[in-house]
This record gives sequence, structure tokens and C-alpha cells, in this order.
Amino acid sequence: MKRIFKGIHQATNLLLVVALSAMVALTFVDVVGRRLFNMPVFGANDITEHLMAVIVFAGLPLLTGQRGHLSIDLLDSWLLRPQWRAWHRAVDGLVAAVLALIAWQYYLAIEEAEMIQEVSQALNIPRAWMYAFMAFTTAIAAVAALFVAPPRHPDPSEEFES
Amino acid sequence: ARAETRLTLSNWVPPTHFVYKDILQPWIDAVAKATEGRVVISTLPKPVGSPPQHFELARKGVADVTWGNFTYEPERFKTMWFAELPMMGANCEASSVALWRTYEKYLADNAAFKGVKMLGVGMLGGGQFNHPGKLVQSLEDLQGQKVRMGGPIQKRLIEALGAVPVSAPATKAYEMLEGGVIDASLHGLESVVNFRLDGKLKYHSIVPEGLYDGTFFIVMNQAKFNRISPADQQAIMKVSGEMLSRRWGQAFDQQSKAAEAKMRSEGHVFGQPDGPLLDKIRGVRGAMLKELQAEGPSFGVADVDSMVGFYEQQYASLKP
Amino acid sequence: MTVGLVCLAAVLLLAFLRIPLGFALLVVSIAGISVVNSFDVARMMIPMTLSEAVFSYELAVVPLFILMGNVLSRTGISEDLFRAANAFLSPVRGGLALATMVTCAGFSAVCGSSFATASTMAKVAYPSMKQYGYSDRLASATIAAGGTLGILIPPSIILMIYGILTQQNIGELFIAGVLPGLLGLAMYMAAIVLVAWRRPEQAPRGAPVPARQRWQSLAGVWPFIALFALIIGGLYLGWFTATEAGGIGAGVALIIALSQRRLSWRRFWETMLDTARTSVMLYTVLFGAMLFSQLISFSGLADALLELMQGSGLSRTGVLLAILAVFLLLGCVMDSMAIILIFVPLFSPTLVAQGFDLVWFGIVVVVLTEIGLITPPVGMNVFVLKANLPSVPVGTIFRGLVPFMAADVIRLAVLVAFPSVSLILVQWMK
Ligand code: NA
Ligand code: NA
Repeated sequence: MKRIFKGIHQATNLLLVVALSAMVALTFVDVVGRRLFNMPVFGANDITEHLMAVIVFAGLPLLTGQRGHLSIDLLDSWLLRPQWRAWHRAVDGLVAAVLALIAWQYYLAIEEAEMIQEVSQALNIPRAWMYAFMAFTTAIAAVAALFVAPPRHPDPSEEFES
Repeated sequence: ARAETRLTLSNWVPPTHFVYKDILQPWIDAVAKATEGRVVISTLPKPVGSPPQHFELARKGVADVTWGNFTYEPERFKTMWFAELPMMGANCEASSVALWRTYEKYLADNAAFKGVKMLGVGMLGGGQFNHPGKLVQSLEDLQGQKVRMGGPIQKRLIEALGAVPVSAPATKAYEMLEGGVIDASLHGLESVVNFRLDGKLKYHSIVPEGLYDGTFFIVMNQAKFNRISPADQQAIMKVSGEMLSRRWGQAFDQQSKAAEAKMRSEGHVFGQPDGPLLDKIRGVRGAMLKELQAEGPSFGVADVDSMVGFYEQQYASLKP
Repeated sequence: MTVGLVCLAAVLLLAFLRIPLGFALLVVSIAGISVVNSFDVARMMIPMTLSEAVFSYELAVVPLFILMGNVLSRTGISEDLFRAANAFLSPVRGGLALATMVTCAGFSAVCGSSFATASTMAKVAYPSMKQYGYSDRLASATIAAGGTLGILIPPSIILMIYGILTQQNIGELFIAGVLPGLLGLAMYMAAIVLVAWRRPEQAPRGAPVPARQRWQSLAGVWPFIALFALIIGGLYLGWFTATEAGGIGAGVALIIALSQRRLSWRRFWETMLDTARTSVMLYTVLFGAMLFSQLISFSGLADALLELMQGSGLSRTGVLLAILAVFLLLGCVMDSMAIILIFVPLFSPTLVAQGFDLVWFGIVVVVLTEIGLITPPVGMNVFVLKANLPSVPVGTIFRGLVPFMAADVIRLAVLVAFPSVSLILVQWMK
């Protein structure tokens, strides 16, 4: 079981690094190609949007599993006492429920996208496939939310980004 | 009288934009008046989704009334492609009304429009070549030029004419021209002025009856419409349908006329494409019509040619 | 409207009870939309709103600029900057603090986050200041205040999010932040000079650096100057959009790091993953914020607020001052990102109706939240610093920040009174 988790984790990391690198490379090539060689990449924006969707939704289970979501930790000296443990479990349950709801809605969106033939603006990439991916990863994130380790005092510089 | 039905409208242009000011707002007032205040439409302070989502927002009932551009969902609304082809009519009042009549006769039962009540349709009144530095008159003028455009029909045209299509919304045209991302941009004259591009795009090459067109909808969630009393439904449709489509076309005609006058006074240059370029454009139109005729049954229109024939006959009879 | 107010309070309560901010916003929005509309509408809005955010080319600006900052901060650029600033400023009284402030501003020019700026500088500059006998009070406050420059001097995550929420051009917002950011730097430096003059024992003189070494130190700074010039110049001249600037910036930063042999495979991998992680975190909050702003729209709260402001008999200036006061108060107790995400959509219709420029207001709001980052009781930058410097009491840092807060208030007054300070570069650009 642990080996499988590790495998998924590694594969997701690889996907994230590849997608982000591709995004940088694509923007770079598009701007340079257009300015210096008069050759823009048709639909570059479209591809970037899809890469962004891949990054965000592939990263969702990872971030959830690491308890990495941005939370306000001002009252931590009080909220991280043992008597609050049940509350944090309830919060995890709530997070899992929200993620499950999102996954369910994207699952419904797959069929709908096929029905209305939803495609991207420039390259006509069908949306149904993307929605299937998004439903899948969000469902995994919902499961991850239930099995995440209880919160501890974090380093605020890692926890916040402003 | 106390309102019996309150409907929300999602609008994605600023409230000062003429589509809201001259088309939607007067229509909202007309509905309230026609139903003696029983049906009140209030505009949400911000759109509930992106512009391409607006048909879906009404179909799902997230907002009750929405408007938008069929071109944003090309595969879904293949039924509308015919009206966006070259030379479908530069008089927007006539083309919008003709499109409404065509919709009623050929498309009202089409599966693509299930779940919404169509309240009105509209056109652009013809999009054109707009260039910052030269008049596009011949095929040579277009060779290798990067042209901003949107949707599959415009893409097909640009490619067939030997230019390079760059897909982007009209709102991005200014910074793309500024940064040299594009050499030219496809717009109706109205949109050149309303997107404040007249400082940049000084040359306008006018294809008679339009290089291409755009098609628009104003729709209401069907379930919401069904809940309104039959009498009020009738009252609403009296100020909607052909009348709303006509209002749409009139507003666009007025905007285009004012835009042309403004740009002429600013010293812009207007011209026409030469014969070979026009022939090429006609060629694309013919080829696409043929394809649509063949594909028609797949999107629920048995005979596209007869539908286009009806549209053209209506347009000809409506055009002053 | 009542539903809107209740939901606003609920979000704040849930967030403070440690429900992740994005999920607090999502839960409350779903509940609220279910009440004013129906659960079916609420659930159907979820994929539409999330897709709108995720399939947005404009929003892709966020990870690209985060990546650029991450590449540069992991390759030792901040040490190089500090060395150079110090070589020139150390002989002056308070010179080390001044050098720290200049380095903060310089690092801000490649990093969009104030927390990253503050915590990086705590590691780079604090030990030197301690070594030369600076007081904890001045040393820590300098870094806490300097860190706030990170979100005004472009690039800035806060300005990117603001631009997306208010549909303003992010490139213009960045350009508009340049002069107010430099003004902030100048006023912070004035505050340091003032403290060093009044209390010389807090800011001793450093050892002079030989002239040759001084000029040599500049060599380490060029990649950073080149990159900043490329991005700001490119945006100013309209060569590329903000998103493209991010891609170019990240790409060039990677090339520089590679060419200086400062980028191992492992470091590249970690930088990429770190960037992805931060981006996902921001997007989750953004999902919640976007749905929440729909709830505010549905519930009539924004409309009611607009009517309240118009019916209050307040003048245009009065309305503005009232809004500024609200943001200033929020800044005392809330995180800057949360303020922007929750309250900007609420107030922007009123501002537009009163004819205020939203680019200018973006800069004003960022300065307001900058003040919030260093004011008690909740000053996030102070807490970030405290985490990096466990031995310094929070009270000491807050006391040291008083002169910097005074500088901030004066700067805010200048920016509000003279919008052209923010807008003149944008106007030249057009
Ligand atoms: Na910055
Ligand atoms: Na504060």
C-alpha cells in the first residue's frame, strides 16, 4: 500500500514539474518566436490554460495530503491544544465533503461537456477529458483529506504566501 | 402592482456599454411595462460566469436571463455557422430580424436550444479588415500578416487568404497591436470605436455585406419561463422575439454608423478589397456552405441550403 | 443583504477556527447561495466558477512570477544584493539598516511575496546587524517593514490577484506600483536615518569597505538588474503581457542560474515543486473567493452597500475615506490576502460608481494591507520574522515598527492626495 502511495506521489511530482516547465518553455518560445521570427504559436494561450488546470488539479491531492492549504493560524496556541482534536477531525471531514462535492460536480460535467460539445476557444480541445481528470484528482484529494495527519505548529513562513 | 416574478439577468459588459444601455435596459423596462410590473428583471452587479459560459448559465438557471455570443461555443452551435459566413448582410436590423425568422422556422425545435427560451437573436452587421498602417485590398496585402480573430470561421478565412490567425478576444486587441503581437484585427466598425482601437486602426477595408459576421442570443431559463402565467408569457414575447432582435440590429446599425462618421472625421482611410480578393472570400463562403449542407443532419438541420435560402430571401425583403 | 452579512461573519469565524480559508469561503458560499437561490444552483456554479479560474490565461501569471522569485532566491541572489548594498552604505550611521532596506527593495523587484522577502532578509541581514551591535528593535523592525515592499514593488502576487478580481490590466498595476514602491523605500530609509540620529546607540557605524571591493560587489548584482529591467521595460513598452512577462522572467532566471552553475538538478526539481505547491494553495483560496463574490452579488450586499454609500450624504471624498478606514481596520486583524479576496469585490462597485480609478485604488489598497502587515495585534510580517528570530519578543518588533508605520501613513496620504504618483507612469505608457 505504501509503495503505491509513494508511486502516485512520485508520478504526480513528475507531472507537476513537467507541466510547469512546459508552461515556461511555451511562453518563452511564443514571445521570442513572435518578436524575433514573426512566428507566434497558434493557441499558445489555450495550451497554457490546460497546463494550468493540470497543475492545479494534480497538485490538489498532494497539498491536501500534506495539510498545505492556507489556514489562519493566529489562534494556534489555543486551537492546537489536545481538547480541540475532535474539532480538527470535523474540519477535515468538512474539507473532504467539499472536495467530494466538487468531484461529483465535475463528474456530472463530463457527460454534459460531451452533450454540448464544449471545446476550448482556439484549439477546439474537448473539455470532457479535462473534466474527467479534474473529477478524478479531486476525489483522491477528498480521500486524502480524511487521512491527513493532525495539525501541528507550523513555520508561518511556509504556511503563508502574501 | 407587486412583482409576482423576479428574474435575475447576468450581463458581462459594463452597464454603460450600448448592448446594455440601448438593448437590454429598454427591453427590461418594456417587459415590466408589458406585464404591468408583474415580471421584474434585475441585473446582477457582476456577471455570474465568463462570457462563453452565459448560454449554459441560463440553461442551468444559475441566472434567469443571459445574453452572449454563439461564436464562443462553436461546436455546440453549428446550427448558427451559416449566419457567420462572409456576405450575410451589412444592414444589421435586416440581418438580425432575418435571423430571428430563420430561427423560428428552422431551429426553434433544434436540440441545441433545449432548456432555454430564446428571447431574441442578433448579428454584428458585418466584420471587416482593420489595419494600423495600410488598406487591405489584395491577397498580397494579407500575405504573412498576423490577424487577430475569434472562432473557427474567421480562422478558416484568414488561413485561406494567406494570413496568420492569432486567436484572442477583441478586448486584447489594443495591447496586442501595441506590442506588435498582431498586424491587423478583425472587427465590426462599431467595435473598433467601442474598444477604443480607433487611435490604432486607421485603415478599414470594407467587404460589401461583410467579411464575416457574429451571432448573438438573449435567452431565459425555460423552466423559469414556464412558471410565468400564459398571459404574461405572451406579453413578454410581444416585446421580445422579432421586436427585440430588431432593437438589437438597430442599436448595432446606429453604433456602426456613428463609428464610421467618427473615424472619417479623424481622417481614417476606407476602401474595398479588389476583385481577386473578393473572389477568394466568396470561394471560402461557397466551400463552407457545401460542407455545412453535408454535415447538416449531424446537427439537426436536414437542409441547410433551404435554410440559407430562406434567410437570404428574408434579408433581401427587409433590407431598405 | 442579511444573508450576505451573516455569511461574511461566518467566513471570518470559520477561518479563525482554522478551517482552511479557501474551504471556509467555499462552504459558506455554497450555503449562502443555497439560501438566496437553491442548492442546485450552488452546486452547478462550482465547476463553472472553478473552470473559469483554472482555464484563465490571465491567472497563469501567478505561478510564473512565483517561479521567477523562487529561482532567484534559491540561487543566492539576495546575499549578493546585500553584499553590494552594504559595501556602499556601511560607513554611514545606520548604514547596515539602510543597506538592509535597499536589499529588501531590490529583492522585492524579483519576488512577489512580502513574507518571502521578510524571511529571506531575516536570514541574510539580521546576523550582520547583530554582529555590529544594532538593537534588536531596529534590526527586526527594519526587516519586517522592508518585507512589505515585496507586494508593492512589482512583481506582486497581491496586485496580480487584485487585477484579476477587478479586471484591471496586471501590467498597468505593476507599472503603477513602481513609484509608490520607491517612495516607500525612500521614506523607510528616512525613518532609519531619523532613528539612527535620535538614538545613535541603536545603530552603530559599520567598518568601511575598501573601494576596490566595493566596485567588485556590484558584479553580483547585474543579473538581477537585467531581469528587472527586462520585465518592467517589456511591460512598459508593451512587448509582452503580464503573463508573458512572467514566463520570460522565469525562463531568463533559469538560464541565468544555469549559466552561473547555481542550479543543480535537485535544486531545479525542488524549486519547481515548491512553486507548484504555492500556486495550488493560492488557487484553492481563489476558488473560494470567486464563489464568495458571486454570493455577495446574489445576496444584494454589494448593491445595498452602494445604496448605503449613496444615501449617506457623504461626499465622494467622504466615501473614499470611509472605505480606507474600513480597510485600515481590517488590516489590523486580518491577513492581507484574505482582505483583498473578500473585501475588494464588495467595495469595488461603489468605487466604480464614484468614478475612482481602479488601478490607483489597487495601489492604495496594497499600501493599506502593507500597513496591516506590521500593525498589532495581527501583523503577519512580524510573526514571520518572529518565527525566523525566536529570541526577539514580538513586543520589541512592534515598538521598533512605530517610525515605519508613521512613514507608511504619510505615504498613504500622499498616494491618496496625489493619484498621479501612481498613475503617471501608466499614462506615459499609453
Ligand atoms: Na515584488
Ligand atoms: Na495588522
